[in-house]
Parts: sequence; C-alpha cells; structure tokens
Amino acid sequence: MDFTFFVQVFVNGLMLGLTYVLIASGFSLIYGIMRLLNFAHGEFYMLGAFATYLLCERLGVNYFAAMVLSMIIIAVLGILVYRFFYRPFRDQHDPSLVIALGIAMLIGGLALLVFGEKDKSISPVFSGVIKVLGATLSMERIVVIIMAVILMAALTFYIKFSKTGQAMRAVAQDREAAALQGIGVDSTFTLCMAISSALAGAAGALLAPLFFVNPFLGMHAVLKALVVVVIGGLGSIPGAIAGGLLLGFVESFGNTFLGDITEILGFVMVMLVLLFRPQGLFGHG
Amino acid sequence: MRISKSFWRMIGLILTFGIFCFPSLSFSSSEKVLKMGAIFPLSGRGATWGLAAQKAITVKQKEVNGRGGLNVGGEKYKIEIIWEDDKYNAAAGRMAAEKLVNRDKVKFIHGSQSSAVILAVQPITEPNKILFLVNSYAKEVLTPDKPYTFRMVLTSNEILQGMYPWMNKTYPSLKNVAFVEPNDASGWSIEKDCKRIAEQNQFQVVFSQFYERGTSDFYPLLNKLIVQKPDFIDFTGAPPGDQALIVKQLRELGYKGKTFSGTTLDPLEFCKIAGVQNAEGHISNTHDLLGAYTTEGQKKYYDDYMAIHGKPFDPVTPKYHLYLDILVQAIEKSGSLDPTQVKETMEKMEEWHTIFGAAKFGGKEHYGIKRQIVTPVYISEIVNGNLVNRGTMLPSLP
Repeated sequence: MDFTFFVQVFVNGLMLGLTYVLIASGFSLIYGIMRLLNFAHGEFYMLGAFATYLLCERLGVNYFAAMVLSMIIIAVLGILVYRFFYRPFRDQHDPSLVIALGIAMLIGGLALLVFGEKDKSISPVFSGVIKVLGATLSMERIVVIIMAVILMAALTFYIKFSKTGQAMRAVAQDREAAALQGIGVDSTFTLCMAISSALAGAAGALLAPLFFVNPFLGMHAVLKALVVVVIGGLGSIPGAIAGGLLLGFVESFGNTFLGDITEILGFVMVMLVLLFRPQGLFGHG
Repeated sequence: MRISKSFWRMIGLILTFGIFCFPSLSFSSSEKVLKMGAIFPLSGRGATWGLAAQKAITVKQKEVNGRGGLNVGGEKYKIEIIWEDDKYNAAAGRMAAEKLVNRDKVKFIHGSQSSAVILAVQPITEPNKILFLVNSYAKEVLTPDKPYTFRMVLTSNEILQGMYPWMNKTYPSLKNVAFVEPNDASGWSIEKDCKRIAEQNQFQVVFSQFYERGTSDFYPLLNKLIVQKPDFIDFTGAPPGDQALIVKQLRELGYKGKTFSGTTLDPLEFCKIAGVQNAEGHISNTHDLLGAYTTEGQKKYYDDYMAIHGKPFDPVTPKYHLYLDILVQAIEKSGSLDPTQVKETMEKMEEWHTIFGAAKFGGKEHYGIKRQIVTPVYISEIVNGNLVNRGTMLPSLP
C-alpha cells in the first residue's frame, strides 16, 4: 500500500464526510434552535433529490437552476410541515418526536406511491476524473466538495453575523428572554425550518447526480445525521461539520483496515461520546 | 333536509352485509372462482422485485381467465389473487399469511423474495398443508420437513452453476475474482455460493467484502478492492441500483476489468445510473426477450406484458411467470384443488413446459428435497447500452 493509496483513502474520507455534513447540518440547526429531532429531515433530503430529478430530467431545467428551485420547494414544504404539524406540539417533547417520525413515514410512503420503487438517476452534469496527488476524483465529486464548503461557510456566516441569524442564536439560548427583546419566536422557528429544509434540499440536489434517487434514501440519511450530530454535539453547526468529517474519515480508513465491521464504528463513537462527553465534541453542557 | 343517524346506520349495515356476502364482484355469480394468496414486498426496499412478480403473475392470471379459466376435472375456475404486502419484513409477512389462511381460506400462496418472510410464513403453511411457492435464496427455505414449499425461481446457487462455467469457457484469460455483497443473511448466503462455485471453476478469490445496505458511496471499499487486481468483480447479491453505482464508481477509480452479476437487471436503468460507457461489457443473468435464444413462449409473454402493462418492458419480470404457470399446469394435471394432490403431481412430473422451455424440479442432493425449479440460465452482456444475449446453460442440480 503506497502513498497514492493513502491519499485516495484520505480523499474518499473527505468526500464521505462532506456528504454527511451536508445532510446533518440542517438536522442539527433545527435541534439547536427548536429542540426538535426532525426525523423528517432525511425525507426532505430525498424529496430534494426527487425535485432535482423531475426538474432536470422531465422539464429539462438547467442543473444549477434546478438545485436552487429544489431548495426553494423543500423550504416551502418545511414551512408547511412546521405550521401544520410541528407548531401545535411546540415545547412538547414526546408528541413532537412522534409527529416527526409520523411525518417521515408519511412522506416516505407517499414518495413510494408517487415516484415508484425503482432507482432513478440524473444525467451527469460534469464528466471525467482528475488526479490529486495520485488519487482519483470525479469532477462530479469535486463540484459537491466545493458546493458543500460554500454552503457551510454561508450558513456559519449567516448565523454568526446576520440579524436574523443572531435572533436564532438568541432564541436557542433563552426563548423567553429573546421574546422579551422583541424577537418573534414563531417567525424565527419558521425561518429556521425553512433554512434547514433548504439545506436538505441542497444536499439531495447535490448528491443525486452522484448516486441515484429512490424513495428509500431518507431513512439511511437521517440515521447518519443522527450519528453525526450526537458525535459533534446536538444543535452545534461546527459540531455537525466536525462530526461529519470525523465519521467520513473513520469510515474510509475503517473500510481499508478493518473491512466489514466499519459500519458499527459510527455507533461505537456515539457510545464513547455519550459515555465520556455526553454533550458531544462541540456541544455545551 | 336532515338525514337521521339511523339512515346512515342502515346504509352501513347494507354495505357491510354486501361486502361479506359478495366478496368477489369481479366475476359473475355463475362462475367458479379459485382464490389464491400472494405475499410479496409491494412497498419498502424489496418492492422492485415484489412489483415485478406481481406484474408477471398478473400476465398469467389474465391469460388463464381469458381462456375461460382453470380447467379442474372439467370444471372451469377463474383465478382470483389476493395480494398482500409483506413490506420485505418478516412480521408483516406472517400477519399476511395468517389472514390468507385463516380468513380468506386460501390453499395456494405465492411467496416473497425475502428469506426472513418465507421462514416466518412456513410454520403457518406447512402444518395447514398450504402449497407455498416461493422465491427467496436462502438454502434453509427448502428442507425435507417442508414438503409443501417449492422454489419457483433459480437461486444464486443454480444461476452461478450455469454462469461460472460459461465465464471459464468464454473468457479463459480471467483467473481471479473479487466479491462485493450486502451485509445481511441474503448477502452472506450468496457470497458463500459465489466462493464455492468460483473455486469449483478454478477461479482464485482475491477479495471479498460486505457493505451495509443503503450505502451509496462505495469509493472506500472499491479503493481497497482494486489494489488486489481482480480480473472480474462479482456482486450478485447487490440490488440493481447498487450494482450500477458500483460499476460507475469502479470505472471512475480506473478499474478496467470485467464486471459480473448473477441477477437480472433492466439495461436502461442500469446504464442511466452507471453511464453507458462504464456499463460496457457488464455480464448478467438477464435475457433479452426479443433477441437470440428466445422461445415462442417468451415472445408471447412479451406481447401479453406490453398489452397489459404497457411500455417500458421490465426484463426482470419473466422469471416470475413460472409461479402461476407451473401451478396452473399442476392443478390441471392433477384435476384437483386439493394442495396435497397438487403437491404430489408436482413431485411426480418430470418436465414442465414453461416460457423458458423445458423445466424440472431438482435439488434432492443439495437441499435434501426435490423442490427447486431448474430452468435454463441466460447470460448476456451490455453492448453500447443494449442487452446482447451471449449464451444459455442448464445448471446441473442433483
């Protein structure tokens, strides 16, 4: 096993990690602000992929335009789900958990009815491969890496520096105090749901040309997101980034050196984190 | 005008009475109806196969009903199939079987592609002497203490016994093989078959690894695989979409060897995901029903399928035609609707006329009971995005 091989393993880990970051960041954002484990997040990711598929393959829309449209469509869907299903159970932990699971199942079932069970794919947007220090990477993957970095940077800056982003942080820290300062908690939640859903839509749109699209994508995605945010710290965006990258590298190197048991490494990490740092790597106690 | 509650109650009672007294409104009252059960994954991760089976069985059902029905000792019976969704889940499959046997009183059940479902349903069908026609690959589905279960589709054991000798003969320069299979009971069972049959055919196994279902990025696994320099890669147990993704990512990583799977695939979908160039030369157990090695029965099946389901034709479906085709022949031959008599006929008959040509039941030595259908194995390659039939071999199954 030579240097090129290890570079390839590293690059694979980076790509895998960024995939997890894309899916987990929105999931973590919702928990951080709304204290809701939105199990429907995986289904939003799946719908984002389907929206891009329909726009590109059926309506002939340009891929990047389709990605933006998918983000808007899924953001609107997220707002509707919040308004009709989550808002009535706000601040009620158990019912909101059950509702989130129910919504996930409902969306998954409806997607199966509407789109059918077969795998669908989007025509390649970029073709060809390039070599990075001897490691092979397809152009499609490079686009995903660049877009994922841009999206994460934009999200971090937005939450840190924009007025509404600061309002979100205020609501996350102390809802009542934020309300007393004139911050609309309900409108902040709505915005948070829209951003998180748009991120899921973007993840679906970005990963759809790389892999395939089917109604079963959601459950696997949300499980990975859960592992990532528990490792990184529930509600922490830097935690989601760190957790996603860590899981990606662990899986890539694990696959190389440990083989079949790699899949359980993520859960082993979750157990270790819960035992020794229950708030996660970047979470607050 | 306000309608009283008692009026709605009356309507409800009439409807309930109607449902229980006239369960089959699709056939006229003078026609005799034979009800059969069918438990398949019509939703969930196995739905691709379940829905394919439903389409193929429906083609045969319509054909039989179209000629007046099933001929049982001079009497005609229209076939009615009660479809149940096992969701690729053992508990759902068992519940469906309980309903079919205890409420619907069916005597014949067509069964799932999931080994877990079959193993959960057999404790209901065997003691009740229900004839259970199944698909799943697990070896333990067929054992001497389960005489009412017949497997109607070739498993990896039979398919690979046809394909590996063909590989040896057609590509003598290929010497070693790598395996990638899903990490579950089905994947483990198939990998065992693959290894055994590859070694029987003098191929050296240089790599074998399992992956979790739901994986879409295979780069880490394939990166490790390619280093072993296999001449060809077999991923028979992977679902069609995963197979296409594996091929795409293998080519991206620079693999130049052959790709192979002992399963049927839809070439259009496969090439869409993998890319036409990447899919070039992929070998599979798929049969182009309009190409070489096609029988009259296959042509008729193709026409019937298109008339009922329309375009596009799903090449995964033909193998499921055997379910109802052989059951119809067995019932008509025995002249009885008693599952025990039909079972005895199935045991005795030496040759069945199917759309694939002559077929028989075998497996006494391998499974301990002669309950495995044996039909010709078709081998094809993808060339310029199209399926090209390359050969057919009858697997030996003592």
